[in-house]
Amino acid sequence: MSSILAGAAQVEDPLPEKGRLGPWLAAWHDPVAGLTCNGGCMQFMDLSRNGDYKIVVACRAMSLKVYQGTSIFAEHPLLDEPSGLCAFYGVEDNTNTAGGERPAVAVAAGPYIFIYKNLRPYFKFTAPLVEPSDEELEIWTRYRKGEVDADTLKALLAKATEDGVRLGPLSTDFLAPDLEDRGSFLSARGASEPLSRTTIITCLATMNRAREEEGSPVCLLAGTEDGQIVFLDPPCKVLTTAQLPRGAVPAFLAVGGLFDSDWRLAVACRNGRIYTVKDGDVAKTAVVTGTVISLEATPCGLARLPRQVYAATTDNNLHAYHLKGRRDFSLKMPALVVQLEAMETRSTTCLLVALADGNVRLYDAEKNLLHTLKTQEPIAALRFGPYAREDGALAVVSVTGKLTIFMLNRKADLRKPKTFGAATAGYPPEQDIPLKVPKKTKLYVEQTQRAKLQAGEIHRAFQKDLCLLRLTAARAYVKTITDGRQGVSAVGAAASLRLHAQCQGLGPNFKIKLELQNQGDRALTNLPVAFTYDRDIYAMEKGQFMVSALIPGVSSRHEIAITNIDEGGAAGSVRILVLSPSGPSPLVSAVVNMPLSELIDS
Amino acid sequence: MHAAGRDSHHLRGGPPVHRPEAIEGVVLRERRNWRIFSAFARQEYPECLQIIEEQLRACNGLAEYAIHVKGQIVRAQGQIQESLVLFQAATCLNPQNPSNLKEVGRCLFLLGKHKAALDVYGEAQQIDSEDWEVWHSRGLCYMHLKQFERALEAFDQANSISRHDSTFLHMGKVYRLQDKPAEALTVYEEALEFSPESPELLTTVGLLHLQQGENQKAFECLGNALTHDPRNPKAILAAGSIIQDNQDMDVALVKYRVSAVQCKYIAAVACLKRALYLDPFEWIVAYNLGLVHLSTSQYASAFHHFSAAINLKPDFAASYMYLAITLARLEDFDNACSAYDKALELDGGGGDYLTHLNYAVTLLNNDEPERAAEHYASFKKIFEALDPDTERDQEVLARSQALANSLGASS
Repeated sequence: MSSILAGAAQVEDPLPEKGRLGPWLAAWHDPVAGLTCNGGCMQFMDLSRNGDYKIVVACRAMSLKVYQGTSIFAEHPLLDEPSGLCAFYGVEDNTNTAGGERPAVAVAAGPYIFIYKNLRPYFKFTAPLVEPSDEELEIWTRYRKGEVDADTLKALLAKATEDGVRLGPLSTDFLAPDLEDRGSFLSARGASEPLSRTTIITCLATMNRAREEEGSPVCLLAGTEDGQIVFLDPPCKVLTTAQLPRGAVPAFLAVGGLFDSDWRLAVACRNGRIYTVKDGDVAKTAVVTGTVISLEATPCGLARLPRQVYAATTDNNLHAYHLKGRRDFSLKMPALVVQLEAMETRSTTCLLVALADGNVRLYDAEKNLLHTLKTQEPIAALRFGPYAREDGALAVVSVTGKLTIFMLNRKADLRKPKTFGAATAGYPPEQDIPLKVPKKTKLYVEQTQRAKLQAGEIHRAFQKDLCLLRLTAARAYVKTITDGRQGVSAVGAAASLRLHAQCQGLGPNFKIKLELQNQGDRALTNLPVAFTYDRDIYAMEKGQFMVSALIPGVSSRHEIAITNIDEGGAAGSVRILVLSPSGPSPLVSAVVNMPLSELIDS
Repeated sequence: MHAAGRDSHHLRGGPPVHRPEAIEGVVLRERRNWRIFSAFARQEYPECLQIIEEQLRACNGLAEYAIHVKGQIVRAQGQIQESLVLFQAATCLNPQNPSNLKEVGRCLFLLGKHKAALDVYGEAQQIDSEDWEVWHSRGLCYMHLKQFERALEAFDQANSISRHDSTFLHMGKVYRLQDKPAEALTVYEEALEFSPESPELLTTVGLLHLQQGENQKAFECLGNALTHDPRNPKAILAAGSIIQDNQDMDVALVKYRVSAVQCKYIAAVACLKRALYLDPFEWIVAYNLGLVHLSTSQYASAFHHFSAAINLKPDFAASYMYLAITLARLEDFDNACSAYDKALELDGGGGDYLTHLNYAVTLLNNDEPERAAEHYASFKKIFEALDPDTERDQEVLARSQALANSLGASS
């Protein structure tokens, strides 16, 4: 604990406030650790076997970093980007010292597993080569014996692809559509290159051999890009392999049990399924069981508690399954799950859920949310285990590479829910926060007051104004439909009309002479002409007629008889409207002021 | 370094410095697949795309998995057509991989080409017939093609392989599209047995009960949903409306608050005027604004909002009744009467008892006790014929009593 206490003084601002930490104690924070790794590449290991645990991190920047207490203990370059990291006990060790065997460090990178003993490169294991399928082998054998030529070879390989045969790199390169010179390709590689291919290790885990205790011999499990799970015995002897169904590429492994007795391994694959591999009937063999869990989305985390397998998916769900594959429950998470980690303490087993929003949720096995730890940044990796001389420590790496270590309070009782004030049930805090209602201005308040006091007057004034407005509008409308344009009218854009009207006679019989001229450049047809007049004073045989056609430039003359029927011979006016055959308003109108009429002698 | 076996080597001496490409002299096509997956599962799309591009460059675009994931990312970003092309390219590289075919089908489905999607899913089933996802997707296609029977068949198949909430939800939806709420409810209940705590399922069942008018059952389901996900906006809104119906405004408001924070409805809930600005042709906003103004005795404004509401929705009787009350307060007795008449006409039958009561009050206030008595009698008749179980509003009773007294006094 000494080294940790020394570090505790360095606690800096970015740590969460005290009191919100629940069962955790802030121990150490290194904002410039610069770690780039995912959860599979960080482990707590007792490298010196003296009970002083260290953190081993395989960084994406191809270095292996070891932290002891609050400082870097060692740093080594790696050969490739690491995909997994494990403590590996049971590697024979001639330099064995008192206190038990020191663990080796296994780092998976590309097709290899590198074993480091005492932080020195010790052994390299290459993933077993994948043998070509019989079909592919036969095709190439026939070619190499000279039985088929290059074109037939291509056709046969293409057909094999269609039939679902998985081809090796040689065949794939040969079939590449943009390969230009197949002849030279074949002479360079075709004759000699082996058909078997290397595969990549995608994930790494360990399983204890005969005893549960930390430090007892383990076997190493490696998932490969070809859907194999390879079981390795130290230093790197293949014990057995299990082949997953086609298309399943392991992404996460969750181990339970002992290899020498009975065990069960959950393998979450990229295709959204979780397969179960268990010990076979024959000792030291592995069989893929028929238990397949289909997830609704891509898996992004897998963890195993004694009785359940937990899987997180990219649709922010956390599912719990019984070991036999039956779903127990699902929980909706507020953000993307970055990693799941089983947290075994002396008293109980819990589940840590690291979320992309920087929170770490702590669930017990009964799916009660015990506590939410708020870290300041999105989480990249998280691991729970013994650190320094403390039994329970939580190491959190943020996406920006900061390393934070929390200690589990020794007095914290994780068996009782609600100890740490986590809101498992009840209403959310938003309920008590009033909404921001927009402020009312003084003007608004005054206007409101006026509106309250003088509602009646305002309403009546409004109604009066509304009536006036309607009246004005109606008047304007009537004016538009009666007037048209005086004298000359624009008919559309291309035509215009001129109307000239004249009255002849002394009365009581008059004659109105009309002259209509189309001044546009488009002929007009079927124009109604209408007369409006005071029917008490005048009479007409017919008040309207049709002008069948008006050719541009030619004027058309019309004479219409009108009789004054007023006894006193009063004069009035006659309005002549030339209407549009399509629109409601007149094209043109004219007013003829009639002269006084001679009185009829009879 | 010397070979110590067929495929293992002992490392001696200092750490080697050469890059892995140099180790075997072979670029491994799938070397970075695990990184692509890791970045994809964490939704770090820019980084993931960068790795994919590097990988595609290194092997002349012949990396099936890289193309597959690129397709998924491009689709997640909304470019469905582009992702379809990518998935088709991945299918060309490995025609027997059902996951490529499934994604091609998914793209076609999203593009609305349901028939083409069905063909592709059929192909995928020839490779692997025991995939629930394919059956589920087929069900979705049939649902959109309105071939409901076949959709239900497909969903049943999916469930017989592996049960999932989403399959149940869609089955229920198919039944509801066919207007068979009872069957839908059966499906949902089965689903609830399978996952009794899914807030989504509980909310759906609650809403279905609500539609059926079974408020008690609906409230139970919604309450359950809220226990498991206290921030589910859909459940909150539904539960809130039930609470509001039960006259428990404060609780309803508090619940709405939670969903308002979620849905950014603050502006709308806090200020109906803002809502009116956002959607000027929504009659209910105008109607509610009218009610607010009526209760704050800003009658002139209330009149405007009610008349706007009526113009937008001329067949809602309550608008006319409130317009009439407003007009009465504005001392426009004649128009108030015609508004009451219109409200009664729209209500059909005897009209709403509230309208009659209000009409009677207005008439009495304007010295027409005979007509007031007439409407008061109608009110009495309807009010007493009401279901005895429904709770009587105390205010209505008080008003009715006061009216009876003054009618008795004046006649």
